[in-house]
Amino acid sequence: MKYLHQGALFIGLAATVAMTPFNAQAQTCADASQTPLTKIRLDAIAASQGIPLSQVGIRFEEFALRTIRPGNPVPSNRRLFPSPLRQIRSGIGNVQPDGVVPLVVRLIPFPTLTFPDSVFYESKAVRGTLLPPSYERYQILGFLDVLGRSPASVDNENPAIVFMTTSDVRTISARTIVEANRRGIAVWHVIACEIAPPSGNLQLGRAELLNPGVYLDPGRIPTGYGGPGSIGRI
Amino acid sequence: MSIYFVRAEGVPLEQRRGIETIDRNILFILVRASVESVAQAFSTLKQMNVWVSDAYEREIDIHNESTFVFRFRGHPWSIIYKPYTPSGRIYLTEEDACSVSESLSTSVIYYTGSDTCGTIEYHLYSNGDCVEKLSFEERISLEFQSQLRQVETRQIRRDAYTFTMNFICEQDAYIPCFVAVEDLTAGQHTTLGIEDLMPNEVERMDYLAQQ
Repeated sequence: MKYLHQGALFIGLAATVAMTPFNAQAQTCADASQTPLTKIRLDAIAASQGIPLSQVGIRFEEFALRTIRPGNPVPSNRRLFPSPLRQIRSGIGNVQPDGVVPLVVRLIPFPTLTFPDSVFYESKAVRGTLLPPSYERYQILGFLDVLGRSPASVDNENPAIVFMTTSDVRTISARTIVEANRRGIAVWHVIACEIAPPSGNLQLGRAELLNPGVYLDPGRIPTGYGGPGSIGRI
Repeated sequence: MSIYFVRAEGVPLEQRRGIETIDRNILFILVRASVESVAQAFSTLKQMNVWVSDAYEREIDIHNESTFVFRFRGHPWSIIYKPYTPSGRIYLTEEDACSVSESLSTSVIYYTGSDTCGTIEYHLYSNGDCVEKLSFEERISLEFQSQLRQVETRQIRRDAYTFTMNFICEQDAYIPCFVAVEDLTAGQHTTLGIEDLMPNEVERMDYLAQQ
């Protein structure tokens, strides 16, 4: 949601980059004692709580949006965003991300800039996919298409998308990363984990950046895209 | 009331058919019968002891397990909608759809789509019998059964979303998109309404709940 602009002190820049997990490896839990949450385990937790499978999606989405930023839940989005590219590829002319928040840019020592509708949060409790651009009738490509024309992009800043997933999504598809890089969009990924002992208490790990180049080239320092989340249940 | 009707611009609601979006988690039961008879059947089935008829834009008291039965003006299907609440213990199920179909001797569609889970599913019931059923999990599974037509699952697998959208259109039905941004809490006194859904677009909406 936030990053510092190139006006940051170089010492600060170097220190922050070194501490930021920039490698695109499988995501981790907030605590080593936790177990990455698979879709199958999520379904089992739901069943044990009397929640039917038809409710698992909305429950996981609510959990993710509510907990990813402790004390500052991401509001549920209720708007459609036109996507000409998705229209061309699949005949669906819009996308509806789960959460939409502004991008906040701190220009040290200048005033903070805010760009509306430039960070998307999307939850996926899925298996057998790494969320390529074509997933769900080009929904993922639609997100990137919209963010690529967002107020942040128009002002040559970096919009972002944060995928909050079950652990089946080990990382995000390389094709999605390529499309994001092309548009200067940062792709963040966070997985859900189950707290030990297994009783249905869940926590999102830390959101990790999968394509640091979008920030490094213009010399920006990303901060605060969420996670570790607060503990919650579906 | 913090429920929003989300729709793309263009076709007037009266003429709109198909699925508004596949980008949300949605569950509806559509019944080819009047709001009055659907509300009666559903309240009996689920032991709903609160029933406010023709409640759109009227002040009501919110109780537990809030459920709406309504019909858009110009549409042939009544819709059962139960907003998600964390405390809810009653869910809309395919068994409910089957029961309502049987008790009203009519057609019923159970539809659920989840973009979070990459799934889409529908069941079509006629007089209590399931005559067509599709269950799809993207890149994982596809099941299709029909007593009405012969379609190779291979054909559907190519684009199960479009297949489902076409099915809904062929039924002259419409799956709307409602987003509830705040929970309905028992004890609230509020005006029953859905943001961006004009009163003249609603033929009738009834409120059901448990006290």
